[in-house]
Amino acid sequence: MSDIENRLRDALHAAADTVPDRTPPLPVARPSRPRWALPRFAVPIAATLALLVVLTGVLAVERLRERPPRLTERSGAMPAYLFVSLPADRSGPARLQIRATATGRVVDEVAAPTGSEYLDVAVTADNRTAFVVVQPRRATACTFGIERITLGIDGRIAARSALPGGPLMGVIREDGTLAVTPDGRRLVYSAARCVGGRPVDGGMTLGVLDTGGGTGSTRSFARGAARSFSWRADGRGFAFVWITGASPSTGRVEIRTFAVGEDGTIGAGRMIRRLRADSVLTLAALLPAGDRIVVSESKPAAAIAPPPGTGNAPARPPVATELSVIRAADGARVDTVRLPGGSAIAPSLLKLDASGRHLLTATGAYDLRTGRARPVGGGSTALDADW
Amino acid sequence: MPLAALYRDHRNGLVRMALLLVGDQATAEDTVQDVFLRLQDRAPALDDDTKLLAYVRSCVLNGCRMALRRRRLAWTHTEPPRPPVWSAESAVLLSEERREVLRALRRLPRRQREALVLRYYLELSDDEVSAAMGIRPGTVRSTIARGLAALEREMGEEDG
Repeated sequence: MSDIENRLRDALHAAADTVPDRTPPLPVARPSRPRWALPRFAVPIAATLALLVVLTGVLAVERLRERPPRLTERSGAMPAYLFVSLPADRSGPARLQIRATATGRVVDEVAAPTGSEYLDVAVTADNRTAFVVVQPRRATACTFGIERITLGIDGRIAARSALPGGPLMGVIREDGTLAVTPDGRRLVYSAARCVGGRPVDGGMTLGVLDTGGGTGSTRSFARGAARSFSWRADGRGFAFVWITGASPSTGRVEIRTFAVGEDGTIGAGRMIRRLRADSVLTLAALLPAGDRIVVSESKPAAAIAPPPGTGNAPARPPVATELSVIRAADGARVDTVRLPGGSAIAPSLLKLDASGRHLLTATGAYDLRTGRARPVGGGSTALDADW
Repeated sequence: MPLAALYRDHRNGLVRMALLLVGDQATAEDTVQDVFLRLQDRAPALDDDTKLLAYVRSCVLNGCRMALRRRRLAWTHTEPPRPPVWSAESAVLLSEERREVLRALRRLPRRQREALVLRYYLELSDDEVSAAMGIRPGTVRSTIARGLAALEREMGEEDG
């Protein structure tokens, strides 16, 4: 045995002998795991699963929360949802449908109150709140109401309530007689007049309504009708189409604007442009900045494409093949929008989204910047639609 | 109860072995105590009770490695609670010559240090050291040989 081994053995024993020779009692065992506890190997698996569930939930909620802003004007994408009012038919009662713009899928729908139907629809800039006219189906009815419908984060109807202030006097006869400011604070509407509790021909009431308190101002006109309302983005004015006379040959079609005061009072009105005499249906949509108006002037289909060798015009609806963009200041035409592939716009619907870039018509949705068109399903029988 | 008997008969030896590896009695006692607590809580699945001592030695070795690893972090910021056996402060307990051997032993790689303690303090055979350290007997022999050579070298350098 070498010296180093001896020295090492001696040092180790000497150091070890510094520990006193005593044996304390055996440590008390800790209480065993309760029966319901997870086996030890399952703890990391359970923790991982729990973490995954939490992460999935958080991501799903974030996705739903973020989705609405992404699909509004900030990203340049079309609004996510369409609000479509439909009459009673074989597929169901009078109702308001919420459809996904991208797929046309019905996300949710709500039936109109018994004996009534939903007519005109107006949607705020966030694409989440809609105001819809509710009118009794009786021919002698002389009142109508407005409902506010709010969507939840999943696009389904989360709240539905009548606007305060009770029913409004008049009858809704034209399309597009309701518009809401982008922030949802004010509505403008027009309704045919009633005299002695019965609707009469000729004359209308133009009203601006505060959606919070139901108060507002109205102005009555002894002749004409108004349609196709649209607001400036700042809510300080609106544009519409004014129609007087029983036919274009005897009456007039004008694009008009009205200023609106801070308190909601209807201010001075102005005629922007008088349209050509052969227009049968005209729609106008004010761009958000309020400086230009998109106008659709429809002519009878026969005037566009008379069948050769026949004397009669075919029974086709009037269509527009192009849109005019006029200046709100003087009515001068500043641009023409030709639709892709020579497609035509049915004249019953013309609404811009809050960005002013996307145009909703009865035949489809159009991106005015790129010229792309996208078909929108379910609009053929609609009474009105907005986004 | 094999564990209770093993505790009674071998607890002090295990604490001493741990002391030679970690350097102070408190840490050594804690390490051994912790091993027995865990074994009571969850008994090892051994096919033969005679293997229990080797198993416990192996656990204590592991506990010492963990204690040294924790201490490496803790001592960078704090002073050790008690002077280790190889330090100058422990001169009242050990002669200078023995402390020189222990200091040299401390500077060896972990595996050589453990093999030397198991062989020259516990007087274990190659197979027993092999079982405690989890290495092959041939490796035990070569490790001990290299450890002794390194120890001699370290001590020579210290003397010089």
